[in-house]
Amino acid sequence: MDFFSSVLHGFAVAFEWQNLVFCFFGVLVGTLIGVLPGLGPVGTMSILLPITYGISPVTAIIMLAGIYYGAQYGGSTTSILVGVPGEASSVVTALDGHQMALKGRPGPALGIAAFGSFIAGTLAIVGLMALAPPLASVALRFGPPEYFALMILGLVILTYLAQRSLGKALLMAAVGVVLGTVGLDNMTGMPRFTFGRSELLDGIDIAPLAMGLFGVSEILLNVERTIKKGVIIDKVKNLLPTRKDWVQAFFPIMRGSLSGFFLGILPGGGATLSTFVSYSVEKRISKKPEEFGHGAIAGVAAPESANNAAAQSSFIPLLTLGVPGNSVMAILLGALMIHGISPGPLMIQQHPDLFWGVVSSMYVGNVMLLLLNLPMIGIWIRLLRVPYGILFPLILFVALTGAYVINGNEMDLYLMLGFGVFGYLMRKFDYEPAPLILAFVLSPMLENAMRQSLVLSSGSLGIFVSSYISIGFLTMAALLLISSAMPALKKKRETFAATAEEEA
Amino acid sequence: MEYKKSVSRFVGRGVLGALALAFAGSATAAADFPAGPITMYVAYAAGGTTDLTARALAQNTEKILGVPVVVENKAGGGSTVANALTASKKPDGYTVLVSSTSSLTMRPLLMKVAYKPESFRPLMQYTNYVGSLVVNTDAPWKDINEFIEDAKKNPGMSYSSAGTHTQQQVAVETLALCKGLQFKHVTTKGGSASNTMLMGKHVNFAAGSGSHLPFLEQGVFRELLIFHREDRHPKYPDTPVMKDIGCPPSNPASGLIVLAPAGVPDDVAEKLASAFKQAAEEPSFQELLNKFNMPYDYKSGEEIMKEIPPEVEWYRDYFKKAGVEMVQ
Amino acid sequence: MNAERVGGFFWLLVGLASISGAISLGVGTMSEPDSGFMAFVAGVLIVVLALSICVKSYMSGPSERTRLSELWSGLQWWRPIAICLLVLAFILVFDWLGYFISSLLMLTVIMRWLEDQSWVFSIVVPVVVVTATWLLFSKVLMINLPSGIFGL
Repeated sequence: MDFFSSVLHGFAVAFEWQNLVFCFFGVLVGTLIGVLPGLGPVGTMSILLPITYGISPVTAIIMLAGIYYGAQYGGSTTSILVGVPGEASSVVTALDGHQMALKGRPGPALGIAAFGSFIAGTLAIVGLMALAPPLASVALRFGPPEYFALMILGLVILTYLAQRSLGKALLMAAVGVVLGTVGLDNMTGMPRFTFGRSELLDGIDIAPLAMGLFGVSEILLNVERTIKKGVIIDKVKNLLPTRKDWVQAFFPIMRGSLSGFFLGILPGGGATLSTFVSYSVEKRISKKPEEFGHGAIAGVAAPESANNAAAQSSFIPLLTLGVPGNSVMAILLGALMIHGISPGPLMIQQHPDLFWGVVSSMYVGNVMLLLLNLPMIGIWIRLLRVPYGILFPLILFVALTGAYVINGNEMDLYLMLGFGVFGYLMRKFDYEPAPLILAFVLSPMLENAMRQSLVLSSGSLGIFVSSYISIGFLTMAALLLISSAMPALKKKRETFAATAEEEA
Repeated sequence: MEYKKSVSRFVGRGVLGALALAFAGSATAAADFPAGPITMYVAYAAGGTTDLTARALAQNTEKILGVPVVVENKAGGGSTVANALTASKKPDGYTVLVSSTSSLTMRPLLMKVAYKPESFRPLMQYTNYVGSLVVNTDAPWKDINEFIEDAKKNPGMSYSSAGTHTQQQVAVETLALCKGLQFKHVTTKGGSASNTMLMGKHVNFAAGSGSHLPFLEQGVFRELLIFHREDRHPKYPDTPVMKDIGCPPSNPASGLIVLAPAGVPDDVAEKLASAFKQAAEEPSFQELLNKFNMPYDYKSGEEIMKEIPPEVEWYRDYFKKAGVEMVQ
Repeated sequence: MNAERVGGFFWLLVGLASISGAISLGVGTMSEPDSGFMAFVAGVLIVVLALSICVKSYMSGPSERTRLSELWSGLQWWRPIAICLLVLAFILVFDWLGYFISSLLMLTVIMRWLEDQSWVFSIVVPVVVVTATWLLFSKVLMINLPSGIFGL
């Protein structure tokens, strides 16, 4: 079947009534789950998996997939409205998105998030349809040295995140690295920094960390003053993005989609990385970088587009190679196997209905999500009008619930509270939490890649520059480092020259 | 139910509830066991294939025993979290655990855990992990002998596995010990990552434990050797086992077992064990195992208990030979 | 006390703790990193940066310095502490009393005591919200929330 007839066939499958129904159900549940911080798509999908036993595999995957990318839409809502990121991929949205909400612009923030996600999702689906198999083989070429180089690039980009003191940001990153080592060392099988607690053997979960560091800490900060009114400080203007917003957000959406799409393909954490990358890129090339962190719409548009594009492209390794790139895909894999479908490179040929049907229904799902989320904006804003004194205990309650149901582990609650206090003190003393989270997410991957590479090379460091891909990333990282140091050097030269002149 | 807000109602219910609990714990309950819902802890992440089999087992057992069997996932730490939790529960038959044999026999040797093999009473086993040596279909070695030849000439071939001291990784190392080979071991997080690494040709071979099997069918991978079996696998009669190449058996195969805390009264344990056995024998369950490429390998609780001490000894011996530090 | 200096000193301790933990895990070398390698490198970085923060705090002019007490001047610092303690209490008892009751208690206490809402409000709103959430999780999603001794 050639490309266009496959696509048309896919849409025919997607529009079968039961597929539409299950798609809607999936995205609805996904949005709800996404809005509730903590409980993520993984937990929900596994709970709803038995529902899929009696239906066809195509329908099953359509529903489960809908939960996944629906959760991406929902996660941004809580990030923006209350500043509590429920997952790693919503953390960056909280940076500027919540600021926009506080400044009376929650509507445009939510709107751009929804539209950006839609556009990015659509572009990603087109990319998926056209490029899936070749991209998958490129993804396979990513071995440990390539991942290492990519992570180094990610860490360098981290320096662009810093809003205030670079030194403090680096310190936060280093703390994030240490936190990332907590748990079982995958290579030696021995526990690190677990203080004998078995619940820490799997490491610190990102959700309680992010929820505590961003959400709980903000509540603690706010509670110091009696805020009688709602969350929003200024008057609410515009329910939807204005023309100016669109102008400012258009290219970030495009760029975010690109970075999300390509990074999402890489198995293992590409989605979160892409949100950080897209945000930092926008900040770097913006004409008004000082706006970032205070409600720049590009700072919402880019990561939102990135995480949605990544959500779509993360299907590629599963559908084309049969390897799941993250835990969500692993559940889909299980679902496929239950239905007797053997995942692997031949799957598209053996089950074209499945591939094209699922991909087309992703588009349908994205449309549904847009139609679901936009009208909700008005409702969300009304919710924010509730006096903060009533709202924050409820937020705390929802956060505690959400954090608990991830693993059924009390430790997560203690961690969330602990990081909340930690974040509160940190912000008081003027340290930023974002670099910590980025380093926390990146450093395990960096460490794994580094150690795997060194095993393969028997200790020789040359392996890191042995392939074009890794050389490419490392060079980019070096260039970025130099270019960010240059303004500082230039300034030093200028002051040096100025003082030299004075003394002359 | 409606929840009235009056305090006295709550207190009344609370007192009744406490009394009921007190009675439930007494010995008279054994005769009419089970009288209430049973909690099944699963030491694996929700939605994964292992979890799905446990849930299927729970569903079938529910119908047999007539009470809800509620699954709670407590994944983490290589099953140590769930094991420790179950070991601390009352041995009244209302708490069971689905975990692996190696988490009982091998893990405690490597790190301090809050349980011992003696903390449990095994009820039954329903499947086990069968590991194998996996290569790409286009790999240069036609069979295991060519592979071993090559490995002897070129020490330092690399392989990926889902983690250090996993079933299959230990098996590969026993092969190395037997034939005097040197391998480079690249650890990945999980079986899928290990498969991906082999697919991308970043390593020479992989220690497969089951997640690679679909790729055999698709013609992407080949198995050169199967571990953990005394005789050849009925599905793959052309693939040799350790005996065929003159090696002692690799590590004892770790099974997925259902456990109760030690001290459960015998008749309660009997009831549970036979219920689980019945549940596992149902065709729907067998079919599920088949779909996930898991062999149905039933063992009774007594058999498992007998096999645990020699297994512990085996690992003690292995770690000593491999130079791994043990805590006990 | 200078706020920056206190912060810097705190991080210094954190960095040293990381380094010591890393060393006990084994650091290894650049080409053969051991378990504690990353923690060691990160720990060293933390120590260096913390020291520079401390040093900077001595060099900054008087207008730039923030005293520790200034961070909380004019603010009701006891409220965050109260919230933390209440949440901590919640976590400690919610397995024993059950999710439903513990949540009710926590929310009611916060609303009534900290936020001065009326009794009616402080009970009605939590009951509605907690019941709705509880129903959603335990009935619709079938996730286990602790039942506690009252069986809820």
